[in-house]
Amino acid sequence: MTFDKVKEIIIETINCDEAQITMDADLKEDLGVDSLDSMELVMALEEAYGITIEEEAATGLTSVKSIVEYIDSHVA
Amino acid sequence: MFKRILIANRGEIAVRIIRCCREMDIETVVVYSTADAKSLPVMTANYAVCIGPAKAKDSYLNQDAIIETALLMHCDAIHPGYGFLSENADFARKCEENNICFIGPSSEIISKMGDKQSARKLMIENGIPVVPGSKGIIGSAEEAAQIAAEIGYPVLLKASAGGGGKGMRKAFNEQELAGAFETAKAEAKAAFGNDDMYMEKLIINPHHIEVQILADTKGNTIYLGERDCSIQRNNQKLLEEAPSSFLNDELREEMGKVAVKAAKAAGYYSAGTVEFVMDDEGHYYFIEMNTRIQVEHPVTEAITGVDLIREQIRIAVGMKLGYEQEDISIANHAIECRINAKTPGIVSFVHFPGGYGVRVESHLFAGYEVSPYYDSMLGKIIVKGRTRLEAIRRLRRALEELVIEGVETNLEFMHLLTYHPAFIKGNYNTGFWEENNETIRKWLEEGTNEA
Amino acid sequence: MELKDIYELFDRFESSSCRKMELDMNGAHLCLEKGEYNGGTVATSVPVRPASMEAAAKEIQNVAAPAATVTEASEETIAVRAPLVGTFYRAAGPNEEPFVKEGQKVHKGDVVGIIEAMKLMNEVTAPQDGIVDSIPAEDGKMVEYNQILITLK
Repeated sequence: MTFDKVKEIIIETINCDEAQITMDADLKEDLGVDSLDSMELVMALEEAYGITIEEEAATGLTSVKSIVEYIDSHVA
Repeated sequence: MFKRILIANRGEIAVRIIRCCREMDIETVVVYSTADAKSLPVMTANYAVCIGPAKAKDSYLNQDAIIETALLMHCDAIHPGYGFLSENADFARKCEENNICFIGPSSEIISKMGDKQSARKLMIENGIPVVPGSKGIIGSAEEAAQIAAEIGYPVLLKASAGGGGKGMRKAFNEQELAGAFETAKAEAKAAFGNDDMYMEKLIINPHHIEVQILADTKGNTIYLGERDCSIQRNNQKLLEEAPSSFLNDELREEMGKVAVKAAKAAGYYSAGTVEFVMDDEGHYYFIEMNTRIQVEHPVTEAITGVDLIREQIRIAVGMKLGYEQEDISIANHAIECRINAKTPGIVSFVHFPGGYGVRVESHLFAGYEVSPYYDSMLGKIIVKGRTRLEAIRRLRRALEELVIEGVETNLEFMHLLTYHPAFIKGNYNTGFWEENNETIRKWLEEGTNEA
Repeated sequence: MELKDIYELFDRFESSSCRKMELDMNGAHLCLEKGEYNGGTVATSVPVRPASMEAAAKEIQNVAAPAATVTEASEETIAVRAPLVGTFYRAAGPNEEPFVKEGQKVHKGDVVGIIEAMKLMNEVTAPQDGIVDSIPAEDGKMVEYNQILITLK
C-alpha cells in the first residue's frame, strides 16, 4: 500500500513518530516539516520510487494525502 | 611486479600512492623539497630523498633531479600523481629513455592528448561530438574575430597547452574579443611557455561531467561511470559527486561508450578521464582527455569498488585489466568535499571524521606546516550512501566532526553549502558558485554573529 | 650436525604443530619448545613505518641515503652543501688524489668535490676560505640536495 511505504519514507527522512502520520496530517502543521525537510522528503520520494517530481508538483505536496495521491497517479 | 616505485608528488596523493604500494608490497621512494621535509609522505615512504628547494620549478618539476634519484635508487617505475609532471610528455619521454616505467600512458599519447587542439581533431575524425570551434591555431585577433563570427558569441579563448583554468578568457561580443585574446595569450605564454590559442563556442554555465576510463596495454578499455564536477570556483573544483544526478541511465551508458571510443581513438592505456561539457538540454561535447589520475578519483572508487591507483600500477607493469565491463556496476552515491587552506600556517590540532561510509584522504597531522609554495588543498572527505540524500547527510555529519586548527579553511563554508537548496536538489551546473556563494557566505557571517 | 641443519630443524619445528621436541644426534643434544603465549608463529614481522601522528616528531630516516646524519654545522664551521641530487666524488677520477683532505686549507672557489648527475660532472666549490674540518659525505655515494658534503673551519 502506498500509504505504508510513504509513511516509512517520512519517518526515516523527517524522523517523526509513526502515530502522527495519518492520511490527513499536514506536513507543516502536524509534522513540523520545515522547508529543508520538505525538499529532502521530495528527494527521498524521488529516490525511493525512481521518479522525478517537478518543482510545481513538489510545492503541492503539503499533506500525507497529497503525497500518496501523487505517487498513486505517477507511479505505475 | 614492480619492486620499487618513485613517487614524484607530495601531499595527499603521495600518501594515497604510498598506502597502495604498501598493500602491494612495493617499496616507495618519495622525492621532496626542503619545504616538505616534515611531511607525512616523507615519514611514511620507505625512502625519502630531498631533491631541491621549496620552489616547485626546482624540486617537484625538476625532471633531471627526479630521474637521477630514480636511477640512483634503482626504482622500476615513477608514479607522477596529478598536477606537476603527471601530464608532461617530456618527462614521460625521459623516463622511457632511462627505461623507468612512467605510470600513465606513453609520452606520445600524453603529447597528443595534451595538445587540446590535436585532441579535438582526433575526436572529430572519430565522430565524437565536440564543441563547435576553430579548426587550427588562431594566428591573430583579426582571425579570431572572423572565427567568432562564424561560431557565434559567446566564445571561449583557450590555450592549446592550457589546463587548470589558465590561459582561458571568455568573450561575449566582438568588442571584448581582441582584449580577451591578447590577455589569454599572454597568460598562456607565462604559464606554459606556449601561447598557441584556439577558440570554442562558450556554453553558458554548462554541466561539467567527466567519465573515468581504465585501459590496459592489451586493448581492453572500460568505463567506470561519470563524475559531476560542476561545483567550481574560477575553474577550481570544490566538490564532486558520482554518479551525476543530471544523467539518466541511457545517457550514462551512451557517454560511457563515447568515452571508451575516445580513449581507443587515442590508443590510450592506464587510468584516464574523458571530460565533457553538457548544456541543460543534455547535449554533451568532448572537451579534453586528462591523461592522469585525478584528485576526485575516490568518488568513482566508492561507487564501483575499484582501486584505481592499484589498477594503474597493474596496467603499468603490463598486466591485463582486472575487470571486464560487465564486472563494473554502479551502486550507491558518493560525494567528495575538498578541504582547502585559506592561509598558510602550522596545523596546531587536527581531528578527522570516521565511521560508516566516510573516507578521509589527507596528509595533515598536528604540527604540520602548510606552506605557501604549493596548492592549498589539505585533504578530501569522501562519503558514500545508498542514496544521494543519505550521502549528503553523511557528508554533513563528517564535516561537523572534522576539526582543523591553526590554519583557516573552507570547512564551515562547505558545511553550509550542503544545506543550500540548489545543492540538495542536484542538477546544478557550473553556474552554482556564482549563483549561490553570496547566500552561503551570508549564512556564514550570520552564523558567526550568533555564535 | 652443522648449524644449517639446526636452522632447518628449527624451521620444520616452527611450522609443525608440536610444542616440544628433543633430539640426540651424533653427539648433539637439541631441545626445542614453543613459548606459551600463542601456538602460531608470528609471520616475519615487516618493520612497517606507522603513518601515525607522532611520526612528525621522529627524526626523518633516510635509510638508503648516505648514512651520515645531517649534523647541523655549529656557528664557526661553514657547511658546504650539495646543490643537487647525484653521486658525490672526492676526486676527479677513481685513482686520483682527492681534491681536499681534513685539515687542508682551501680558498674561496677551490673545487672541493664533484657531484655527478645525469652524466654531467658538477664541480662543488668552497664558498669561502677555510680549513677542511670534516667530510661527512661518503665518496662515490648518493647525496641529496642540501646535504652537507664538507664542513670548513
